[in-house]
Amino acid sequence: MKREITLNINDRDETLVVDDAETLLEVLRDRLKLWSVRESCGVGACGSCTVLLDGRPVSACLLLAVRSTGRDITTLEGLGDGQLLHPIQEAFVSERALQCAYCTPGFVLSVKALLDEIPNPSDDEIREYLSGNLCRCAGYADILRAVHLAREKISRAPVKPE
Amino acid sequence: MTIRSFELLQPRSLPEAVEMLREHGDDARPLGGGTTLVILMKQRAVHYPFLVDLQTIPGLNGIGQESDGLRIGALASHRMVELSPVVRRLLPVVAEAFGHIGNVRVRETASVGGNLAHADYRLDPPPPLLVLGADIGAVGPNGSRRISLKNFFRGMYETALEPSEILVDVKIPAPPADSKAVYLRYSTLSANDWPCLGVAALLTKENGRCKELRLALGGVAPTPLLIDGLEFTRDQSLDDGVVDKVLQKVEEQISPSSDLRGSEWYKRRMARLFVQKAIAQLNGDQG
Amino acid sequence: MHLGLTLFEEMVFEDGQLVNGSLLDYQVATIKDMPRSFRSVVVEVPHADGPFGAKGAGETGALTVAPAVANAIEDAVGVRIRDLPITPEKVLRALAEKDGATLPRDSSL
Ligand SMILES: Cc1cc2nc3c(=O)[nH]c(=O)nc-3n(C[C@H](O)[C@H](O)[C@H](O)COP(=O)(O)OP(=O)(O)OC[C@H]3O[C@@H](n4cnc5c(N)ncnc54)[C@H](O)[C@@H]3O)c2cc1C
Ligand code: FES
Ligand code: FES
Repeated sequence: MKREITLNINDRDETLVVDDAETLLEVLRDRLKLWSVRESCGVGACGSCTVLLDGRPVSACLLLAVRSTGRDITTLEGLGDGQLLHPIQEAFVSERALQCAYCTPGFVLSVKALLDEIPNPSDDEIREYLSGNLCRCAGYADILRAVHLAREKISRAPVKPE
Repeated sequence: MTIRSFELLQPRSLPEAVEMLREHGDDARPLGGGTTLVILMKQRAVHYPFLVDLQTIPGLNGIGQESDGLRIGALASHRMVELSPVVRRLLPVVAEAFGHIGNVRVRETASVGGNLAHADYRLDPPPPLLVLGADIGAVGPNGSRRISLKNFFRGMYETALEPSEILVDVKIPAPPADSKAVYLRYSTLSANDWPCLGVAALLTKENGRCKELRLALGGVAPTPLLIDGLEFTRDQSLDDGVVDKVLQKVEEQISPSSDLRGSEWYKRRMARLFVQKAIAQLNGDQG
Repeated sequence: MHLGLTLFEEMVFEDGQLVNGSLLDYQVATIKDMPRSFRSVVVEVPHADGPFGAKGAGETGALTVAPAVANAIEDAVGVRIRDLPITPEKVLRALAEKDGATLPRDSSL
């Protein structure tokens, strides 16, 4: 069945007609051209389609778009301010925590959720939280360093009103 | 991977949801978090013209302590159970089992009811819930009833739920005084793979001896399995001889089949090993 | 690098049909599988045919992980596993066979 829904994406309301059978991934990527949201496994296992739903990480490939109304959806595009990179992105750049970068948006958003939930995570907590984000170029050691750097950058940053 | 068109029905109450399921019969299925059903529909392994959205029914995701134990609403997410202060305090083994599932995104989305109703033989939560003596509440066209978890799993992906019945909660009685429980999960592939097998044990002790031992295993039979016939351990000290007899009971009752995560031979070996480990851990813990 | 192929990765076929063709079943290494510390040692051996002795970068070095793991296992428990992935079951079978046991073979392995 088709219906008109309004989704709040990166603090903007988007009204569109979707089929009940469409996943949030299909809507974000194919309709709204938010290219940071990527499909790889399609079964919740890889994290390349990670988005934040009310600040919590989820696999957009497993969610029906019509069930995401009334929630705050954040994709990587909503993380920086359009000009400057977010401290987590900066940390990924300076630690060279990417090669092909296919996995990077999913990792950055998962790190955002992790640091919001556990501001000072141990290595084990980071590994546990990120174990569902796969990186085939296997920059895991660099990613681990990037998380620590991001944590430092965020704790040093002056608190900005959202 | 795209899903064939269907209609998502969004009831506002349980009776409305039950009525929708009854009206559409085999053409409808309840939808919890969707982490299993969405994949099956994408793979076109199943198709239902109607899905009944349980998330639009208020009040099904609460977690709370009641006079006779802990009640977890069917729509509570795995993550809510994993992080819930009351579950962690009263039944840490349950929080741990839910916390081991897949990855953090799946745990945010998947529901407790969907996990149990899916009835996969390898699921993590059933073994600890079985040793704790949990039961589930179901609501259907003929009213509501409680089903003990030990009678709930009927076969591979088969449960005691009637068509149009909805699982509404899980109740876990307070564990016996002086008891301890563990859940050991073993995966043979990557660190967050599905388990090859899981072993839960609950041991109650009295004067340094065993008062009651309960064991349940996942991954080694068509359904999660509560081991029968362990009454002989009562008033025994759990020495090698007694543990050997326990292992014999386990071996008689499991019927593992070979899959990607291990052959039957290997699973039998690992079942022995992890039952031994679980008992040793509980026994040692309490001196 | 190469850790997944050494420990988990295998395309399993039954009757010509791939049975683990999804990332739920075909497991690759996660950040949790990564060793706690990495140390790279560069062994410089010029390539006879390469310009100025150069050779391809990247995957050349990856080939060392499987022999390193196999050697470590042999060193620790005295069995040599010759096919990848090196699963815990293969090690246990090799140990049992070394002790003279005859084990049921299994098609899914
Ligand atoms: C990447 C990945 C990794 C995983 N790893 C693990 C793991 O390591 N261990 C583990 O235990 N599990 C694992 N799982 C399985 C996961 O636990 C299940 O997918 C999840 O519990 C299903 O819950 P759900 O709410 O999403 O169910 P749904 O997909 O909504 O439903 C599943 C089934 O239950 C029925 N159903 C749902 N809710 C109800 C209800 N209240 N009453 C009656 N019927 C209902 C549905 O009709 C459907 O048939 C994994 C899943 C994924 C995707
Ligand atoms: S594409 Fe969604 S988790 Fe892999
Ligand atoms: S950088 Fe290529 S997959 Fe991670």
